[in-house]
Amino acid sequence: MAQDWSAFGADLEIVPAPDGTIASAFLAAVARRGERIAMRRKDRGLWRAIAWCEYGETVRRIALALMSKGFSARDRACILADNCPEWFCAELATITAGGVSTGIYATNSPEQTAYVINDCQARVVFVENEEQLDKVLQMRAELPGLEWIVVFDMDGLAEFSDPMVISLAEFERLGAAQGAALESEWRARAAAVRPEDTAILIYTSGTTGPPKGAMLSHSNLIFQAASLNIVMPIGPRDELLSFLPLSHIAERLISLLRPIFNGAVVNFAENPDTVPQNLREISPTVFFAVPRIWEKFHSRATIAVHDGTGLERAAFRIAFSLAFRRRAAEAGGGTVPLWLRMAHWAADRTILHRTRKLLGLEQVRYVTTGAAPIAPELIRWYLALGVRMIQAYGLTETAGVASLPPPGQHRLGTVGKALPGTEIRLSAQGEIEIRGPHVFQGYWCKPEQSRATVVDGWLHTGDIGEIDDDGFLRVVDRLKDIIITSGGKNVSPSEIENQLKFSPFISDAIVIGEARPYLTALVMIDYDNIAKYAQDHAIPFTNYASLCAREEIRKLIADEVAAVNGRFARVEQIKTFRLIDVQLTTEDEEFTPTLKLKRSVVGKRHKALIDTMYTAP
Amino acid sequence: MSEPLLALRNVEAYYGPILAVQGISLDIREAGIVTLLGANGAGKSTVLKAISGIVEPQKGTMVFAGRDLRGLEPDAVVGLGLLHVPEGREVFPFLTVRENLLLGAYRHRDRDRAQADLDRMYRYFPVLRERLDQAALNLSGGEQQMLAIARALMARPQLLLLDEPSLGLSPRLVGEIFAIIRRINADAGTTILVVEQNAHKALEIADYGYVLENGRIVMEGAAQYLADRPDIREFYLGMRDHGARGAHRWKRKKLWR
Repeated sequence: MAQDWSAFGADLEIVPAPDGTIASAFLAAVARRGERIAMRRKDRGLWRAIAWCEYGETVRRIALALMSKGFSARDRACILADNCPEWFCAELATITAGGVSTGIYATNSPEQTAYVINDCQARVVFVENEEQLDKVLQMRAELPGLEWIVVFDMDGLAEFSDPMVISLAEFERLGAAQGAALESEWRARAAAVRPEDTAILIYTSGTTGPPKGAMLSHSNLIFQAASLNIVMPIGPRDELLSFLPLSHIAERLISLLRPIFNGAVVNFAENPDTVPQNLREISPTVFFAVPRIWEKFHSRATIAVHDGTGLERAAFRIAFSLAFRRRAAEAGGGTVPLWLRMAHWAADRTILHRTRKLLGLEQVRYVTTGAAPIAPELIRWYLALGVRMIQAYGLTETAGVASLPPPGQHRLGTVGKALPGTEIRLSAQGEIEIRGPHVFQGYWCKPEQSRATVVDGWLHTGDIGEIDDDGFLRVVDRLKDIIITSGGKNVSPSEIENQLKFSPFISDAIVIGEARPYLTALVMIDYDNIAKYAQDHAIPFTNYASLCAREEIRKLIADEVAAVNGRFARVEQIKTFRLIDVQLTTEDEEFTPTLKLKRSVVGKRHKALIDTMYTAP
Repeated sequence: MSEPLLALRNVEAYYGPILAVQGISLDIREAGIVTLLGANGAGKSTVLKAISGIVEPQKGTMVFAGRDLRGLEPDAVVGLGLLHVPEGREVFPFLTVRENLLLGAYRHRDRDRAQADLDRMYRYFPVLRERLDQAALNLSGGEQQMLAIARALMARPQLLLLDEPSLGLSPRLVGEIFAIIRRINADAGTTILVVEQNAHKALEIADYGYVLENGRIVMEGAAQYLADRPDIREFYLGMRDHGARGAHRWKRKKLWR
């Protein structure tokens, strides 16, 4: 399955120039692409295309409306919405009007929403619908600097009127009614944006203290776009599926910013629950997801196979073992025997292809994982499946990617090498430090924390890493998450957690042990798969909590934990565990936007449960 | 605690091609009133049909008073004292009220007993007595519902399954029907499983409840406990705070905790 990368990267059109800006690049992209498709959204069951010229026109109208309301250069605007075309338009209208655009997670609470609006002193907030509008209105008394609220979708708001609230349709009409004078002022303002100006603020989840707005400049983002076009090319024939939160740098970069330069078509998932279905409909050619999603897909495929006939299970096993053998032979550097090549080819055409199709991954050229640690076994599984998975490492503070495998040089368990034109080194404590044009400008209005984070041009990532002789970086864990056992050994909890999460029955886990005599874990079960297991084994249950309470399920998880323990040294073994019997959702504080459990929050919320694992029985 | 009168374990059942019940387990204690709540299509009726033998469950066990219900035909289930009053009443339209009632007692050949039961039904449902010789099709919806319940009671059931008794009835009639259900339970100790969309009424009379969503139980508990849960209050009882604008259409995510 050799893929031709150059075919997709060759027709890169808008070259990210070092002295360019997102504003000027976007206007150039619109002018150049005209009627070509920029994005698609599903409307009443049909995928409807939006051309670049429509995209550009909407941006123009919103920008003019903003300016007619007195929005000045460097003013901030917030966007509180799930991924949709309007999100893109609002961001680029803000940026071309010289402003700074800030995304707010659609799952944020009213209080968290208000915090971001106040922290960046936004004058305008774009909200998706009635539900998001209510969050802002509820907090209005505490938002003195907010002047206008623009609502994308007015469903349910026909009767509502408020001097501060305006529908996007009306806002666009206002923009369209502006004269040529304002239009040329807008174009002049877009042209006047400097590369060193801040383009966007990305709020980091902030496990300690309130969230911080990382300032990313035009040149930060342009540098990312330019570097990624070399190492991970995407072109106008590529299809993307946008569903991870745009307020996160990874999704913002891949589906909003990079397509300005490469012209890839962005398809919007209807909602977070329809992603698997939308994935099959769209069958994207490049796909980025966080480990949680990859774990979910893997579980789904293995459970589906388990449900099949004995013959199907055997065929699946054989197909994978052929794929593993072929990869092992290739990795060994020797020639792959003809029989193995033929057998693997047959397996790839049938079983493996069907599995890829089931997941909607049959057309992908490559997929990327990042934003959280992942088990190498999982990557190996996808590679055997015939899905070329690339593990990237990056931070909000590096405007996205910091390191990834150079083309053709993949080393499992590592995140490759520093982006071309950047440097990575390890401090004496093993902390990863990064320098380059992608390093951010600092945190908004937090000079002290900014100075502590970037010292002499080196970004202190807070991650512990290792660099091998060939310069490949391996990320061990967050510095502050490293557990020092009573025996004095350093343990990386995420390595153990990743092994646990590889089980189809475990959706997430947190390993605990700091200042404790031994390691323990809090485990979150995979409800669908465990419920199915309970059904198959006639284990009665009613709901999530009752399922967690079943002795049989505890035993099942205990077996999974024991299997993982077998892979680790004694000090790294989990002595006991507890199940979290509350079904958490993305709206719960326990989750990060990339669907990872927050260690500190979980530790605090479930302290009593954790303590039971350290009291004598 | 004693054995439940009816115990379902991991029951799966299809409604046509759809797996409408995806593995549910529930207990119904003797002499209790249990309610099964859920939106349209949650699988409530399919659960009742599986119990009464109208649909065959794919998986799971159902034990009623020590007897395995699986594989039993609906008439054999009735013989065990388990009566199902289906949704939409299904009275025999061309038979008179009296004939409908007597059909409910067809398994008992004892005339005296049937007469005594008839008298009992007239006490519960005086309106039926007034219409004894009219064809059932001439009865109003509420009267037909009463007739359907009365007909089932004529068989002196141990367990009565009621599928949406309030469907299509005026609020006053709904109140009446529920009052009678409570009385039947109190007088004769008849165990009742009532499936309802009218969660408000159902939780008023029931002592225990289960909430079914997409074929799975998402919540269970004593009726008062359920009535106090935020999710039940918002999604089943229609109570919610009205936010900053005084009205909102969107629904927050159900959490079921």
